[in-house]
Amino acid sequence: MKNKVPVLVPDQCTGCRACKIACPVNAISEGRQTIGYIYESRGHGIDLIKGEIKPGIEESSLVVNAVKKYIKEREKNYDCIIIDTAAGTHCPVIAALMGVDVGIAVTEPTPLGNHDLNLILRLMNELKIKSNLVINRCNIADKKPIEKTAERNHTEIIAEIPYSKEIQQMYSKGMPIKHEAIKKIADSL
Amino acid sequence: MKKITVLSGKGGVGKSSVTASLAVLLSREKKIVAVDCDVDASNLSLILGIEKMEKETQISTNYKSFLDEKKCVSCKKCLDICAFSAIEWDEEKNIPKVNKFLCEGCGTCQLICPNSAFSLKKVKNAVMSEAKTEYGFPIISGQLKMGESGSGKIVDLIKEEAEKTNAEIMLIDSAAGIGCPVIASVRESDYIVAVTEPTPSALSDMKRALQIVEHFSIPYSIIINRWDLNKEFTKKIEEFAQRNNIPVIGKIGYDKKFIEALVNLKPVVVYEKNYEKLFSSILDKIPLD
Repeated sequence: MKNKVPVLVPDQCTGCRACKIACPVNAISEGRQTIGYIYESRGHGIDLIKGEIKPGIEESSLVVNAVKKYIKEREKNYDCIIIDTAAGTHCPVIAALMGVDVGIAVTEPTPLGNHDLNLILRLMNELKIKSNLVINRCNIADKKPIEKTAERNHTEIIAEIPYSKEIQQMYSKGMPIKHEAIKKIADSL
Repeated sequence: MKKITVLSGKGGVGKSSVTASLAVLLSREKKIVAVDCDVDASNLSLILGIEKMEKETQISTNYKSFLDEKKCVSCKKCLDICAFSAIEWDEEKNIPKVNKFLCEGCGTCQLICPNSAFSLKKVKNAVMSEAKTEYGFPIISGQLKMGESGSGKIVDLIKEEAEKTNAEIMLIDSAAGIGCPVIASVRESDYIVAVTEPTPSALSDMKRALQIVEHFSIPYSIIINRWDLNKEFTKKIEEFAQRNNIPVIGKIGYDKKFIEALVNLKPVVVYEKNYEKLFSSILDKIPLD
């Protein structure tokens, strides 16, 4: 206000360029800023490519798109690419789901799990993506509501993983989970 | 109105369960409003026993671009300029096609088009709803519609609505992650409670979420949920907290009662009265005045 010029807030800028085109005197130029990072590492015989947004940047789907572009360039090196999406149903999830062959929804038999499962299956339906379902912690409560949701959305339940303290502890030690259900999921691919 | 936000970074660590129990206890002392800012998958109301929300309002915080095919001169300028890959080219008709799932509604295509073939239209991208819980306090929640975007702006809107209730305390349940809905939840909060669990991913995600909190210079503290699943790692979290002068205001043990409470659509302090003591002691450490 004081200087009667607009102030740019870099963290909120999505790089759409609308201001640059709208400005009649070309006062705005385009630059690049770091919005996140892509990491690559190897372990257990797999390559891990990880995208991470810089805290404070709002538009996380831009990072997802950058990671997917990075993968696309290396696609021929792999037989199978597994993408781990964010939670929820908003832009980073949609960006991650775009163009995949199959989406595996993971849920648990609680009212919250069921509620959110319904949303993600509907989203995949909208995006015309084939969906499969894994029920995690399948033994903590009645699975019927989940099975109904799966049926209503024409989704096949491909595996069920029980709750067990050993799995919890392995996970909390940062170790991959060994269970026959995991093999079932892999076989389904 | 004092605003307290509960966040976690990682999903599934028990953030909403903790929020619900804190809400019930807090409402016995103060006039509160609970706000579910997890607009992607809102389910605080479920834990508070509400299966159907009342007073639903369609809200619109987003625009999308629409093409008037007759006006298009096939120059492809829009295709090159779109930063969100939301414009695809229809080779058959030789015109652009807007992918409604990717369009951010920024209007750049409209600005660059030499023949004004694009127009921006407001889309109803979310539903805001309200209900009164059986515990006497209201809850306001927002739910993003399928395939829509703009969750940050929806959070702003439902917080504005909650502001009108004249409650003494607004208790906000944030989304997982650190993206726009979380930033919008944290913004203008007076105090933050971060819920985590003893897993490497939960700690790392919480640390990232706390960077947002630090950015806004808001005081905060940590609750460690299911702390006894990995006592060694819990110690690591406590050491991290101590090094950074962050108070750990509560440690909740793993208990199947939490799942039973969830399945019965009850906050754990209601389902199992023994938990009142633990949650009251947590509440005592949150500055309310």
